[in-house]
Amino acid sequence: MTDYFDPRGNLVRLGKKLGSGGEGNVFELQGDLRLVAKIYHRPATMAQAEKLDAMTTLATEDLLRFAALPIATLTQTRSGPVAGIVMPRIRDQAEIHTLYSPAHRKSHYPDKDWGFLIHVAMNVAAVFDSLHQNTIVIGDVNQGNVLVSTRGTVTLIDCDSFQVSANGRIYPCEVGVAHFTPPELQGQSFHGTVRTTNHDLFGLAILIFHLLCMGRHPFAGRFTGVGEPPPLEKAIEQFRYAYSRNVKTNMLPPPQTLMVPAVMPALAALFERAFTKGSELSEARPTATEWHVALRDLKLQLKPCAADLGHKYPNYLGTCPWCALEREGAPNLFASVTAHLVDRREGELNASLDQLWKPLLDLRQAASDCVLQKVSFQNLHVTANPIPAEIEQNQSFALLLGRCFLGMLALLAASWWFPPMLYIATALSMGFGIWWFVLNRYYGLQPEIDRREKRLRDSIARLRVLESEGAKELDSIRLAVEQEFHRLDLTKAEIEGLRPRYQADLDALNLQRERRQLDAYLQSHLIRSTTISFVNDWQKSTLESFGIETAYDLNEIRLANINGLSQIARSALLDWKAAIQKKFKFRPREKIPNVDRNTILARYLRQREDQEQALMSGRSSLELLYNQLQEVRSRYQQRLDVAAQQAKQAEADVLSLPE
Amino acid sequence: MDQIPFGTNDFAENPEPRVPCVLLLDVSGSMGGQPISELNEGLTIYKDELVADSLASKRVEVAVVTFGGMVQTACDFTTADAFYPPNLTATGDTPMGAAVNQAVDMVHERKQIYRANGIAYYRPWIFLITDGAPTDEWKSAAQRVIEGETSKAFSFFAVGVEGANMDILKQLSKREPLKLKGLRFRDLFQWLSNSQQSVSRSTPGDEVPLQNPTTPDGWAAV
Ligand SMILES: Nc1ncnc2c1ncn2[C@@H]1O[C@H](COP(=O)(O)OP(=O)(O)OP(=O)(O)O)[C@@H](O)[C@H]1O
Ligand SMILES: [Mg+2]
Repeated sequence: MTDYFDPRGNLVRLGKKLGSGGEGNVFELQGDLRLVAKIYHRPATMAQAEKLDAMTTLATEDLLRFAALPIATLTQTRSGPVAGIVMPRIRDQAEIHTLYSPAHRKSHYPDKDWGFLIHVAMNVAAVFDSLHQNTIVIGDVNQGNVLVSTRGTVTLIDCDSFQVSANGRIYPCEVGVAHFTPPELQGQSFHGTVRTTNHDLFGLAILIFHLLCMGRHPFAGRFTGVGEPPPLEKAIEQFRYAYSRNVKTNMLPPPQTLMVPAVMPALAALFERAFTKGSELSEARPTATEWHVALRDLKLQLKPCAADLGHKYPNYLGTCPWCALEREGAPNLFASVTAHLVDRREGELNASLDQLWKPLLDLRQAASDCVLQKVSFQNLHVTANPIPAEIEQNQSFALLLGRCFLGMLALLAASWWFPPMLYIATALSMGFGIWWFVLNRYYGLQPEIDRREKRLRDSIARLRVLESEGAKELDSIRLAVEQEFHRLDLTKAEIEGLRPRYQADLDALNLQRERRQLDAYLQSHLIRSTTISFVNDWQKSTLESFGIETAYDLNEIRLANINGLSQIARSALLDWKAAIQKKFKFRPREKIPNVDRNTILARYLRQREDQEQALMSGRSSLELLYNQLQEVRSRYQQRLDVAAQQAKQAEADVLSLPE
Repeated sequence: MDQIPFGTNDFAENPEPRVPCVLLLDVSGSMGGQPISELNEGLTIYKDELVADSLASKRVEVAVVTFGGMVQTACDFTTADAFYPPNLTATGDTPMGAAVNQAVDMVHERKQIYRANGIAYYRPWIFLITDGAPTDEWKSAAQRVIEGETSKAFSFFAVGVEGANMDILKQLSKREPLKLKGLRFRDLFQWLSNSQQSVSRSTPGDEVPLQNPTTPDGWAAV
């Protein structure tokens, strides 16, 4: 049963079963881990056997990297009918729908972003290209026959259904999946139909659309025509491409989908060529090479989104289309990527701020220390200015004049005895007196004293003015420093609050999950569709008119407001609710999944990053203020020094005056 | 704080075409004891089978409506990963007519939701399992089932457990009702999930040739 023969008559032993399909089961080969065998449910017909033999000759080293083509046929007895085939084993690859489906991607490929999806689309195009180069038509393109590795490489399986040409004839592909079947083949039997690369290219375009547009089908949209919406295969048959920019197809894109023409104009043009009327004409659809080029260009134009680590989008767009979808109410379709990038980075929310904060504290301290120094006269050394020689001379002359005046006064007294002298003496004494007075008053020491004292007063006043002006100017800058520091202190407090807020969000999410599970559970129990003793249909209608439709809506207060409801009906309803509620079991298995926790974490980490940035720029503005402070201080300090020197001089000048 | 939906129920996260299926389960008093516990067991197998198939887990949507004393939506439409088989208990009479009506309504509403969201879908299934006869008015429900089947709005399957009134089931469904052999609920649900797995791989709208359950080692007899 598990023993087969290859065409050269060698024994082939089967091992473990790996998978099964509509046409056969797939097994390991004992003794060769690189190969597998597919054993058909029914032995191959002559025609099939001929095709399989032809295929084994096509399996070049090169093609085998892209497709698990049959490399040998198997028979049960040395000369029996073909019972199966041998082909290379594909390891660690998953069906492509587990990648393009966001729901599966977040658990199967949590770290893969849009760039990866585009990359895989390129690889799919490359596989199609190499088969088409070899005149092989895939025929049965579908979500299960294309396998993808975590490195993004793509391999085709189920290759025995390929359409190949050999021995001057065509061996057709007789199967297909409608979602991937072009309009011109819809509703047609695959038996005897010769498939073309143009047909394959429809399937390729569908796969690429699935990869780029989050698993959406290009023909699944909101029907705007009259009557029942056509089922998917009818929509394909009628060319109702839902994302067309140019053609009216009576099909609109579903809510929360990418705006294909705006987001990727170059690819949108290719999609139009693949999906709209005219695409059925020979060689009308974009070739695998065309797709490859356009996808590569798109990939090269990707840039990361500033708001969400997990988002990538073309750099010619002003805003992130994934963020836009979220604003429309869609979930974050790359939440797992964001989450993956922040996984286990919770600690960063707690990280010490000391390193950032210390310089700020230092700056603030330095700013508050930055005051004008009191001028100290002690250390100033000055020599008093001597009294000018001229004044000294005037002073001695005035002394002489004074004496003369006194002499004249004596003469005046003597004129008692000699009256005629009275006139002369009077005149002379007045003359000397006035002279003396004038000399003394205006050209003597007194004016110098006055001058020096005034200079002293003035210089001290100037000193005071400078001191207070400087202090005022410094104070106003220091106030700015304090204000800035206060702002930064708030930022710091906010950063320190992120961790507890993150925790609170997680707790809330947990609580909410239990609450929402219960609410949904109660809401799923309709009063209308339940038989409750003592509550008849009429009463149910009354309840409905009060908006009470499910177990969730029932509570004493709301029921109390309804007239015409007997006490017994009221308690029957509440009992019913209680009975239902009792059956509710919280499903703790649905604990917060990593993705969801990390999505929240990513948000907080981003906030922390922003706020650390704010601290950093706060530091430079503090530095700026501090420099200004120092500059103002040194300016005033210099002027004060000059003024102090002057005051000290003035003081010395005053002190040096004779008594 | 905004919420991230979980699982595969969100259309943006999972735009795969849907195979909606309402399980219409009789939980009247007569099902008490072994039948109900076998039924519960069957539901668990059903879930596990669907979850194990990565494509079917995204495409098949189950809802459970029970009737026993009253009609209850034990579970609204959900994909398999978020389907937690309710632990059913048997009690009360058999309001089968009301239950069928509700299932038809639910299927209709679900289709509206798919359309509004641009989600393709396969023909819905209503799968009735009962061990008795309706204790309420059921003729109008039967009328709706025939209409629905004729207009291909849904496929209606009826399975009678030992004691079921097969005559009424015949009038209730256009398709020949099947009779469960013994209490082979597990085999029944295994078959159901297999059938739906193949449906979920077929083309929406296509008639899928189902595996015949009435073979000698199948779970059903006609
Ligand atoms: N080359 C391979 N290496 C490893 N596993 C394989 C390989 N080919 C097929 N398988 C496994 O076997 C399963 C069935 O294979 P395949 O699709 O070729 O069978 P089938 O009977 O033609 O199926 P279908 O009904 O899709 O036509 C695949 O889903 C896969 O899991
Ligand atoms: Mg096959």
